[in-house]
Amino acid sequence: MEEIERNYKKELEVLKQEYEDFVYIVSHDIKTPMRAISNIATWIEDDLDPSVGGDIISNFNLLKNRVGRLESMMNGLLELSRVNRVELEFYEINIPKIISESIETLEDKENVDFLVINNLSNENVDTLGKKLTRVLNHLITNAVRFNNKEKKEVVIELNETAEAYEIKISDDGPGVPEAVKDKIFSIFYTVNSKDVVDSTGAGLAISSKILQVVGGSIKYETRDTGGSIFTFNWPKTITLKI
Amino acid sequence: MKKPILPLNESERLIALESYSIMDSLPEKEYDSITQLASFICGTPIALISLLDENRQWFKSSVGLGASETPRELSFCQYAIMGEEVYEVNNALENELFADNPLVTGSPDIRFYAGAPLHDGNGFTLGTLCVIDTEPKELTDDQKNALQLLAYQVVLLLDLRKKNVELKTTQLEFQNFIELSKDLVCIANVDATFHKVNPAFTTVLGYAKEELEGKPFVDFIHADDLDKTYKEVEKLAKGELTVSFENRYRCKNGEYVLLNWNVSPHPETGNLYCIARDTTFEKKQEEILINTTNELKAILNASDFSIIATELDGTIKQFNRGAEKMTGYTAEELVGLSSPAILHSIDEIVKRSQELTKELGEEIEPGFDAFVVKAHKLNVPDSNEWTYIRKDATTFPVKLTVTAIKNRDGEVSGYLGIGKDISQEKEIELNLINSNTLLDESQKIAKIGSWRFEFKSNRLTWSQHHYTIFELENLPLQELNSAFRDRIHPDDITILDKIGDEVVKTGSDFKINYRIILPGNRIKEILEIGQPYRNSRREIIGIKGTVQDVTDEKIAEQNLINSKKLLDESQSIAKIGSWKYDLAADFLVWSKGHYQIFEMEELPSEQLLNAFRNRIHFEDVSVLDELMTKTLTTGTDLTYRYRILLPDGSIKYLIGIGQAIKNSRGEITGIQGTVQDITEKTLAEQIIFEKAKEINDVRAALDESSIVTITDEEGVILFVNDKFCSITQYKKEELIGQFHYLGNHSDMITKFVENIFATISDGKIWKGEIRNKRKDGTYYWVYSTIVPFLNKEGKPYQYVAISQDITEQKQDQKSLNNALFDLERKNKELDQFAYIVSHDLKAPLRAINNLSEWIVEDMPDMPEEVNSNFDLLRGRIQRMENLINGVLDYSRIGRTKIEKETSDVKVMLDQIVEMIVPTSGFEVFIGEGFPVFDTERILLQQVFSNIISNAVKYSDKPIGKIECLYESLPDFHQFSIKDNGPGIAEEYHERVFQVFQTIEARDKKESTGVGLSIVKKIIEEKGGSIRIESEEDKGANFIFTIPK
Repeated sequence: MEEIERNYKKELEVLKQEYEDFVYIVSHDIKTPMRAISNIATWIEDDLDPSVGGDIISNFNLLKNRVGRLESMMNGLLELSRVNRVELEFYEINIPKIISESIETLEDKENVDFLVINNLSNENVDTLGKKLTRVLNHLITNAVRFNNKEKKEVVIELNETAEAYEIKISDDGPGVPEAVKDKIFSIFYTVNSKDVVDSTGAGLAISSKILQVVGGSIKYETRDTGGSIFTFNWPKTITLKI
Repeated sequence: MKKPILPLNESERLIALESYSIMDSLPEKEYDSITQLASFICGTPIALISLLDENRQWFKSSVGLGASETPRELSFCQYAIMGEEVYEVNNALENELFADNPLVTGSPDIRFYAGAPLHDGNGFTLGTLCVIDTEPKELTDDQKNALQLLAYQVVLLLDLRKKNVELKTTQLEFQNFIELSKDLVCIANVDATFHKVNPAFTTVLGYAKEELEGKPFVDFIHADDLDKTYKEVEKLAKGELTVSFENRYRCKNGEYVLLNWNVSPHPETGNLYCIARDTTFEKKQEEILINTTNELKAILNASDFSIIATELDGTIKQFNRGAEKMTGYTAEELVGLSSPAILHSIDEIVKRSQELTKELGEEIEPGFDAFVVKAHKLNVPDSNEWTYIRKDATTFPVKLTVTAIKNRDGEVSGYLGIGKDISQEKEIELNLINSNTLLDESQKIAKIGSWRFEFKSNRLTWSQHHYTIFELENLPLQELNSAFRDRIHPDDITILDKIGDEVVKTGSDFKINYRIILPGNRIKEILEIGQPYRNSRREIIGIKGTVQDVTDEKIAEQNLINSKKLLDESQSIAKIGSWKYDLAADFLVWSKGHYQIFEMEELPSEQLLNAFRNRIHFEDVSVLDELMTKTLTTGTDLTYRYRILLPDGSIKYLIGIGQAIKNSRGEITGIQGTVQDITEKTLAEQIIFEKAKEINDVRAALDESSIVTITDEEGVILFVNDKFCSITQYKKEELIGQFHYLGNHSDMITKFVENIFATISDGKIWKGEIRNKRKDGTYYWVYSTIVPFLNKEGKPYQYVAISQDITEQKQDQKSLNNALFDLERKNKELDQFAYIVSHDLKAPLRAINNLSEWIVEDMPDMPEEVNSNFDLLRGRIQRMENLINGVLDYSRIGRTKIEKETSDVKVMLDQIVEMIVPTSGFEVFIGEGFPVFDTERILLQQVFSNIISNAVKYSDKPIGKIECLYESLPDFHQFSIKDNGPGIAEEYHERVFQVFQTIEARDKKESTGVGLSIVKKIIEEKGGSIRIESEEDKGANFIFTIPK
């Protein structure tokens, strides 16, 4: 009986490994022709007479856009594949500080009201700093990017327990329809067509993967007033689950 | 001695002197009178005409001097000829040139010399006219002039003389020519007489010259030719320059010769210059030719051949006697009027023209061409059989040979057809055919065919029935041999080939059997008997023989063999053998089956008895002997069991029965019987016995280990063992007589129990897990096997249930199920992930592809560069899509089987290199002999691209070198990829293949780690292996194998 169970577990390991391999192969091997496509598109652009018809130009711009999207997707996938392999350095960070840094780097921050509710008693923590920064970046960027309001509002709430930090990021955007909320952590999934908001749909998948690796968790809720709430748990002591 | 003095043109001067032919000629009066005159005029005692050749001066004439010549170097004249004027030496003693000259110091004591040069017309000075005195002297001018004039005179004389000589020479040559000519040459006077005749007249006509010259030539002409001759000569009178004619001349002996004349008159004298040639010989030759031709004609006319010569268009030119005789036509009826077609039937001509059309590959009209086209085109006599139609409409067969007649220029000028009546031959042939038919008939009856093969011509001939046996239509000779060989069963053809060689070698007869295959795969057995045949020199020139269809005989034979075999086989299957013992001869015979039972090779009967006894188990020999003896003495039937011991130590159990054989007098002469191998039966009995014991043992053991219950057909408990009691917490008394499946687990009496009953009441075994309730109400799980025991009618009369307590296992199962669930979930997740990734990546890729196509369509006059870049772009898109599909496949390793494709590794490597390796800074060498084989292409591609991309990624040299090689091992394909990069230290050789976690310096090696772990995984899953040959700084060589 134990034998069978062991086999199952072993098979599960193999399967996980395959998943890793798959992501690795996709992100690495396909990168080569991807680079070529991107390069060739640039050459064509250089050679293309700008006086050709508007249709052609608009088609070509669309083509470039798709090339760009494909590249972003590839990069997303690459990042996903690297989650458990790179940037695994432990160092001390200050959580409110990295949040404000993340906000600083946003492009469209003028029209956003950020509200940070800090309930932390230990703001400094020795952790996988890069990973945490990444999760925060993804979530904060999403909170702004998918918000179609003129004046946007993002609330970031920082709590902690004995074992973990609990960070809640809520926005007053359109939220996620109930029917698809299970899918948002899948790679490349976007609620709307990628043409509506130019996004690769990799951010949440990467964030979710990071939390899986560090042994934390992430969940989505719809805000009562409309909009999204993403809450994630970041363990204080990290045992890598690779 | 003074050096000789020579004029500048000396050598030409000598030739000029030579042309006069004067030197050493006899004295002539004309010259002497001039020297005398000179001597007189100049008042000198000596006067000379001196001519200077190379070495001397020679005097053509001299006065007052005895010598006829003196050496040139002493001469005064050598000086005189150097000038134009008279050369004068007044006193030689006072002249330094001559003072010591012997002619001066001695005789003739010359003191005075004066010489006038002799100039010919061409500027050469031939010599001098000179005067000499023994006293010193001086000539007056008049004397000098006179001497000069006299010198001219000498030259005139010389010139005249020269002309005379030339004329004489010419005349002489001409004379000789005429004299020696074989043609008759003559000059006739105007009065028609011979003026001069040459010696050929004498030779040809026999007359002496004198008998002809002065005689009228008409006297010699044949009377019949006179008129003709006169006529011709008259033509000359009328002004013709030359006439040619023939006439006959009478010879001295009275015969006539035919002369062919050419005559021209002399324009002034009117004399006739005539040349004649005797053409008698040519005429004779011509005559002979005519005679020969006539003779030949005669021969042909007399022969039995028809000879018809025609013009090119077929008009008959000649029609010989033979033809007249054969056809009934006369030459007059046909010559010039008809073509030979009149003798032929139209049908035959049409048929022949069709044959020719086929043979020559060009359309031949059914006309005259049908006879001559071959002779004309191929330039060979063409022979064919035709039917000639006589004038009276009867017919006869003819063999006609047509030849093209050519003129001297090689052009075809007509045709000659020679025909021979072959009625008789035809008749003989017909008789032959008839007798052949007769032979065929008889062969048919005997089912025999005959044949003959001639080596030299490689020609096979068959009788009619041979064809019938082989079921072939009559075939042309050249096709028969191969048709024959095609018929022969492939297994037998070598026998036939061998036989042929052997007969030639040994000269002996042969007899063989072989098979032929007929349409529908029928097989005929053929018996062939053959012998070589020889020519008169006793050399073997072929083989002849007969074939016979012996299929029926063979079948009968085969049936006999088969029935014997059948008997043997049936004995063998039944493991029965039969035997017979002859008492008098002490002689034992066994059937094949008997031998098989005893596992012995067949033996001669004298050895068999002994071998038989040796096989018998030593404990059984005496009993057997006893029984045998009893049967032999009393005649009772024999029944016995005994064992035999085989060489491998195993034992066989046999049962035998036998009966005494009696002769007519009722005496026992032997025993015959059968023997049967009952080993299996015996062993089976033993096993049953052992089994019975075992079952009791098992039952005991079962009681110990398992829960056992027995119920009747209604399910009422008849028996429970201790185990059942302990697990259920009931006592035996509480259970027996109760309904097994009630009360106990009333909650399960539903469908579940009904199903169990449905199975076991049908006589089938039920197996499965059952949850039961203990007396205390807790549950336990058992795995039960319920076996129905069937009565003779096949109805169950009781059920035995054997159960195992699996309560614990059930609990374990739960956690196992969880693990399984995890696994399945993960599996599904991965599938979904793979699908999403590939699907989502393909969407923009397809968009790019479509957009690029639209752009290209919208821009028909796109610059070439842009166009080719679009092509390139679409190529990459295609490649990327393939890759996405490929890795999607890869992600299913171990779960989904990847289809194998025929992959050309060389092509694959070229593509990978093109894709991965930058064009500059790297040199890639791909070796030879890479295989094309069926494999999971995408996996092999992964392996190569990972290794090669590593080589590129880690290259640390200005020129990175990558070398891909292949070697075919007995069971594996071995590939190696070698680079000149930094190499891998030995301690890492294993570790590079491990997953990334274990590798240090992650940033640097992360991709290698995962890539190589995939590589290793793929290779090992395929049953191959991978290793590294490398040292630090010496490049790395990845060598891996894939099973063939």
